[in-house]
Amino acid sequence: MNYVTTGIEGLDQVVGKGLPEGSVTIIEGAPGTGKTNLSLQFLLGGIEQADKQPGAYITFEELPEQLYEETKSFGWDLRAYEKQNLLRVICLSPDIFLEELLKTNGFVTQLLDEIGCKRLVIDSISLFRYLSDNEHDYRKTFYSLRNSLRRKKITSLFIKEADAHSDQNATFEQFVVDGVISLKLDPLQQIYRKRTLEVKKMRGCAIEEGEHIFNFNDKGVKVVPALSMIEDKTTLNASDRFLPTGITGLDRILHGGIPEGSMYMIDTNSKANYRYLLASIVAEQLKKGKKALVLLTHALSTMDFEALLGLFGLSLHDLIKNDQILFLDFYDRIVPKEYENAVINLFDQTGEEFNSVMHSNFISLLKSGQYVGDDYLVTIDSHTLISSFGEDFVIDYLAKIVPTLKGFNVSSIMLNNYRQISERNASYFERISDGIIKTWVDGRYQFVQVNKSAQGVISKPLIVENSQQAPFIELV
Amino acid sequence: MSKAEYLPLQIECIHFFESNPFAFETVEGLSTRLGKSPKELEVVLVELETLAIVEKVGLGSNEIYRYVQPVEEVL
Repeated sequence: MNYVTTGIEGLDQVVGKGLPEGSVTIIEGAPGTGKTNLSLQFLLGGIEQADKQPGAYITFEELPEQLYEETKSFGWDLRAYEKQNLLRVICLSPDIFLEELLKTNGFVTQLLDEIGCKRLVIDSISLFRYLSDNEHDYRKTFYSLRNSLRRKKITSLFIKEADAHSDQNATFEQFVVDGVISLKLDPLQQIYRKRTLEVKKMRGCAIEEGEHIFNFNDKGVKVVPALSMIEDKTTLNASDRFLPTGITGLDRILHGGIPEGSMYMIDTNSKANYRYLLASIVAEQLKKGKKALVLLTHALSTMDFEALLGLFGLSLHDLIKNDQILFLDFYDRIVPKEYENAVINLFDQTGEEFNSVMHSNFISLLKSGQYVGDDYLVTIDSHTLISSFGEDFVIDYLAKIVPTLKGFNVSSIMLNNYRQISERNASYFERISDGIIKTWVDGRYQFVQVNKSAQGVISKPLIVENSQQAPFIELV
Repeated sequence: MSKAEYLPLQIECIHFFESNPFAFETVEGLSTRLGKSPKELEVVLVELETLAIVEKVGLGSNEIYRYVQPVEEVL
């Protein structure tokens, strides 16, 4: 299937790849929501293509001269395009339009053929209903119209006035056409208004669901796709490499993975299983020859790690032998003799003692150049640190350790549960993290959502589905 | 009405078609657009057709008038 650009900044991303060539899409909305300008910009988008796709705007009520005048504010000279045979703003009555379009060699068809019309806007299809005596005739006419344009491979937008039922029930027209884009003007913070656009349907396209804000600038309509934010160029520029998480859907969202040298937080709630997510990230780095400093949690002991890494085809025995992994354990747990050299026990130790262990076993070695930061991934569990040393110590400690780790380009993952810390500290954790991957259980489903990322993307909530092979989870 | 009396309406029609070169209107349709009597418009449109300012497409109730763009204006 071929796709044509909508010509509207941001909209191609929302509909997937653009509009399917020859498709028919309804643009519906109440008066003043921007249907006309959006549709005209779609025509201009075709004209501005290298292969020049001429278009026609069929208006039943508004006069072309009004459109010529109104669109000057966007710098659009519609008359100039008409003189170049790239555009026609055609004004006629809906009954004549239908009759002449459907008739062999009718003058509407001649007009469209004259310019080699590839794009068409009909403003508006709401009037067609009044032309038919009954529903059956109306449906027949509408089908014919759609089929006629499809056969001509003209990509079309049908403007439709929203009625009281538009939000609740899908109309007959919505079933028949290939796409439906709904425009709204909603209140924003009580005194403002925001324009939103929602692609409700687009055959053959992976659409970005939900409402997206759009606005008018001096060049026309610009859609700001939801779930996007400002990318952190300082983090991205500092790193030209990404650490894959090993979870395809997540790596796709993160444009390859976690930027090397950054700190990403995995925010969980108590019901959510984050083990595979964490294990996948750690295993991916170990497979690439990186080293890991793992601060164990109450739910993840050395033995748990042995089992988890085993599922990812890694032998903890070999990793320890190759000096690739070091654990810090804050609990009084039995460690198999063969792993003893790779586990530093900090049970009943003070925060200062923990700080000292971290310094002598890791930070000082980075500073002396014995360790290279790029080679390391550190995993931290904030809840374990807080329960061992108290919230104040941890906040103070993270304020010092996180910049140090970043300074040496050490990548780090922090496990966190917002519900177990104060709101002030939660917001602090959020601030110091370059990215946040949230996972939680709601009802009978577990979800994952990227809430913040250096790449500037945030995702919609994705369902976590179990799979039989590593990484044992898929994001749907 | 004399020809002179029709002149303002004639000018109004020319202005309409010049401003909307791809307008296709029946007498009834133009009557609604301009808010003028269809009977008077019919007379004016016949005159404009004679002058080759507009041309007629279709027959009977489907008689549609369209603007004939001056040669220099047509591309």
